[in-house]
Amino acid sequence: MRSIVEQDLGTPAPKFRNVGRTTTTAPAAANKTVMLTIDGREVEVAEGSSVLRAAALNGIHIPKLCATEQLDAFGSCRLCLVQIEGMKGYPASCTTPVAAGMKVSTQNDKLAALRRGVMELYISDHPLDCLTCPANGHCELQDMAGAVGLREVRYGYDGANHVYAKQQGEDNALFVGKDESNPYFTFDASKCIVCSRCVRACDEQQGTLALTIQSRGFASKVAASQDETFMQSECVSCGACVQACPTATLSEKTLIDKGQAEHSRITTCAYCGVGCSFRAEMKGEEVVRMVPNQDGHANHGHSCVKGRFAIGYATHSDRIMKPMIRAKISDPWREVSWEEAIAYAASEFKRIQAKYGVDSIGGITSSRCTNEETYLVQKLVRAAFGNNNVDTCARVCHSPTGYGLKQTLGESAGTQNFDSVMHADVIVVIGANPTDGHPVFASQMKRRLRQGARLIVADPRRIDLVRTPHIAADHHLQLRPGTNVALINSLAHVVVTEGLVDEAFVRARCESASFEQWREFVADAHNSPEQMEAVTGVPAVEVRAAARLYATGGNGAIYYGLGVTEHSQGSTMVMGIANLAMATGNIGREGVGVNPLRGQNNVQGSCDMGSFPHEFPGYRHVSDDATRLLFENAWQVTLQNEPGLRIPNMFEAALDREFLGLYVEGEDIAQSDPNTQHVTAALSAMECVVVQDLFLNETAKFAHVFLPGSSFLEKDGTFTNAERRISRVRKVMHPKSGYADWEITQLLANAMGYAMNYAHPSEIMDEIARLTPTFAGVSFARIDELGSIQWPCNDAHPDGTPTMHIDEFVRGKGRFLVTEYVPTREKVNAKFPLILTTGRILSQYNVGAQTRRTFNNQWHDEDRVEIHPHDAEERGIADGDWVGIASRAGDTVLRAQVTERVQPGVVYTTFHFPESGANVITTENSDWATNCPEYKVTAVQCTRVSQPSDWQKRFRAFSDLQQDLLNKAGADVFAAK
Amino acid sequence: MSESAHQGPGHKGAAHLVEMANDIAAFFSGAGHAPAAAADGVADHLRKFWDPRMRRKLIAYGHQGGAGLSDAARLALVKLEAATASANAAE
Ligand code: SF4
Ligand code: SF4
Ligand code: SF4
Ligand code: FES
Repeated sequence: MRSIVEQDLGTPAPKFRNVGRTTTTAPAAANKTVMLTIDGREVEVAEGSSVLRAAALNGIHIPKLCATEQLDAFGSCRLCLVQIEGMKGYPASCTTPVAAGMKVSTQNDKLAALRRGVMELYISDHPLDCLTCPANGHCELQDMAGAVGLREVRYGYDGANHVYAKQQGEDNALFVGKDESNPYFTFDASKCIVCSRCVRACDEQQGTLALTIQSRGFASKVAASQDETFMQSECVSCGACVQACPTATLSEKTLIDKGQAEHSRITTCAYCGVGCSFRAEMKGEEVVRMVPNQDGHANHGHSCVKGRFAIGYATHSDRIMKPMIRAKISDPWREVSWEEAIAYAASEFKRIQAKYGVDSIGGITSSRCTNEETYLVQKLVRAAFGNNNVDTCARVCHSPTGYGLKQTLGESAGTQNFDSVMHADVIVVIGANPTDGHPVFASQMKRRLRQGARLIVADPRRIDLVRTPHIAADHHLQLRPGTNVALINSLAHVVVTEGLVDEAFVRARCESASFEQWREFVADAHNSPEQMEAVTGVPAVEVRAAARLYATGGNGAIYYGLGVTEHSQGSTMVMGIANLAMATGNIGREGVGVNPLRGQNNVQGSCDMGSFPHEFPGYRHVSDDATRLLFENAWQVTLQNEPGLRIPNMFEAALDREFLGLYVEGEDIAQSDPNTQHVTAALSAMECVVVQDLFLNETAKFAHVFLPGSSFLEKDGTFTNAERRISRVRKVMHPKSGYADWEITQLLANAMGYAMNYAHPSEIMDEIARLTPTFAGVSFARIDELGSIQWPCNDAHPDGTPTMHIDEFVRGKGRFLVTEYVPTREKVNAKFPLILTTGRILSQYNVGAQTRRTFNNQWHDEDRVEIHPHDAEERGIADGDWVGIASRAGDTVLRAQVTERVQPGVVYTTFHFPESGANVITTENSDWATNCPEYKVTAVQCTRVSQPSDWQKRFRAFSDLQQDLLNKAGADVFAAK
Repeated sequence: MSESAHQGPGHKGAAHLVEMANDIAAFFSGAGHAPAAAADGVADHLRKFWDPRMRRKLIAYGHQGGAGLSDAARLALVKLEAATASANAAE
């Protein structure tokens, strides 16, 4: 079912075709219009529109059932037929494109009779329990029966039908019972009109192809995969089919429970860096369902299972609603007033600073919170704490992106918008798993691949994209973990030595000295695919073919993820990617570019907002006097000109007793950061840890003050997604604990003696815009007007910047950097012969604090270790066995999943459950430039075991103890069950 | 096992800083740059991204012989110290 407020224009807006390099810059045909007459009215619409859409745009509503704006026209129901002068018969308006001078009649007696006949047939095989049906109030079938004036159904229900379980006392073979296997929606086949909208949504929009229409004629029915339940099938629960269904057949369970929503507000998903726009469909302050926004600029009406369905955590009974304090982490928690909690935190921070110095405390901003909240936390640290000890979880994911792209291109951000992929001819995916990590963008990418774009995947693991319905990668470069730089250098070697450099581009756009130096370096024989084969494990012929394809196949677009950044040479690899894109001229227009797929919803924003210890908002170094003066004047304080501590440095300093107070907003460092035991030792050494979160997360178990935060539904603000797109987050209910997160930070600043008096987050954004040139044109009013804005947004680009570096790089000339491959220190040996690498899964989100508190657990309720059959057999490990995984840092136990997805010598796991202890094993090795941890490479040994690891036993005991200490605070602190 | 990863507060600090500095030096030594040429890049990187406390610790460690530091890292520390001294003198 569609949103309650969106009008369905019946067919999508016309799309212009594009094929290859020559046509991508041609103007969109959408600018051309056509004049025609509909029911005597002259109308003007875009060329390529359907007659149905043309009419709807002009307020003329032609009945329809199988058509929806969400999908391409199909033309099966015959309800939308019209008469067109000079054309024979009654063409379907959804499949008939407009033509100049066309004269269309949408209503006359003949059409009315035909439509009534169609409806009568539908209704004769449809139950008549409209009053108690969940779709009631928003059912397209009911509406159409009304629109065509259906008054009687002559056929009756005694004959063959799909409606009743029993027919004259006998079982009805055509009847199929409700499928309630999916936790979020039901499938009630008795209400299905076989319009195939669901099937098409799963094909066209989601690209999973889980649904089919089985049989023919009257017997035809919708089935998931091979007549399985939805849960058993290929279905990934994106919900596109539920949204497309015009009847109650596919309905959200929350809609069935709560009834129709009465109002709707646009907001932005708080899970991943795709940043899907949603309509929160509300009943008062209660969310009935989340419906992806058809006008959403990042998602165009699509979503994944997390954003659409997994929001139950916001009202989960684990959620803590009251501030709490305790003197020691072995003490029980005590519920206190907001005043007391804030005063206690501030007095502790002041005490620590008085005793250990101004630099002895700091803060961590959240990539889950809004831009305004992040900005405020870094302002608190710089202005109220008086130091630069502020960092964000981007440290542990995409900090190398910021560094590497700034060094080469001049700006710490991706170069394109998502839609750009529809102009790409060769798509290169490196160290990213879009179908799990960035599902909605993956659907768009798959659409482009089905149109014929070529695909190169570089990943140690066979990710789904390598082979999925109607898609197969041309090249899967299955490299050994930790050898990215060796691979990118050998790809570059082929480009340079086979004459595939875009010389004109390089001459016009890049620094010639740095290019020549780089050319000489990569051309050296040691970088050839043949020589590097021993390092990467990728056959040289494959590397050569892939390099040729990327360099010569038309528009080449690179998408990469944490498999690039989370390495000891993460920053080097980012530069290597930028080098390759510049050398082949694949940058500065649509369809190409260097595109980091950002993890968390606001990781781009948190970096933009000055969360790093060395730079102010807008990526300006703290030692830059002009910038510092600007902030000093605006904030009325003196600011430090030296970089502060990064997250891993904070831990080291804590163990050295130099850093003893920490304010953590919405981040779980005890679970997400590497070498857990080192992190928890550091946290235990601190004297005041203040955690602001929805739940008593792993970090909060080491905290002295707990400040209950608010969910994205409870506040106003903005998120910035992976395309630099700033979108609004809108408050649909009051903060359940009393304050939105920005208000809590403000209270803390005031208690520290630094005055903050914002009345609304829009005032914070106004301040950001005043102080940050790339945000100069951004305001809440402007975002409301445009829907979303991609920064830079300023006088030169008042509507934002979808594609960067068009005529010139942000830094002027593009700069090539020499990227020598340096093997990681983390080496396999006899004791640790396997390499562990980590990743994520679709249904769970990072540390899982949210998704673990939803039905998404039904897809993934434990982390498993994937191991190749060969390695498993050698160790006597069978599927499902408990496996001990030991590294130089620690050990843990997980169940095995024996699979050929991983190569021999490599094991893989996800890290969504704290008790899995994936990060107990990961080490403190990190990227040379940014200290981004080397999560993706850990030397380990696997053995069959019969019990949990010692760490896991200690973890369990400590967690039980902390739960006890929490329970002592009384039932009041929890959200109502 | 991990308890041995940091044998008491402070102990591990220098060793880890040495590794980090050597990694930085390895990048700037790419394409056969001599240590002297790489040192400027290393010093600049340390100045831009390291908290002054970490720099001071590593410089102090360098004075104690700086075991394990690569040539480029060692040279960078000398440059860094000289630059800091002249900056302090200017104030
Ligand atoms: S929920 Fe998504 S994946 Fe599942 S059947 Fe529907 S459209 Fe297909
Ligand atoms: S389930 Fe809904 S969308 Fe699918 S064919 Fe039936 S009525 Fe149409
Ligand atoms: S793709 Fe990302 S932003 Fe979109 S709904 Fe899923 S989690 Fe949310
Ligand atoms: S709406 Fe046009 S044929 Fe169904």
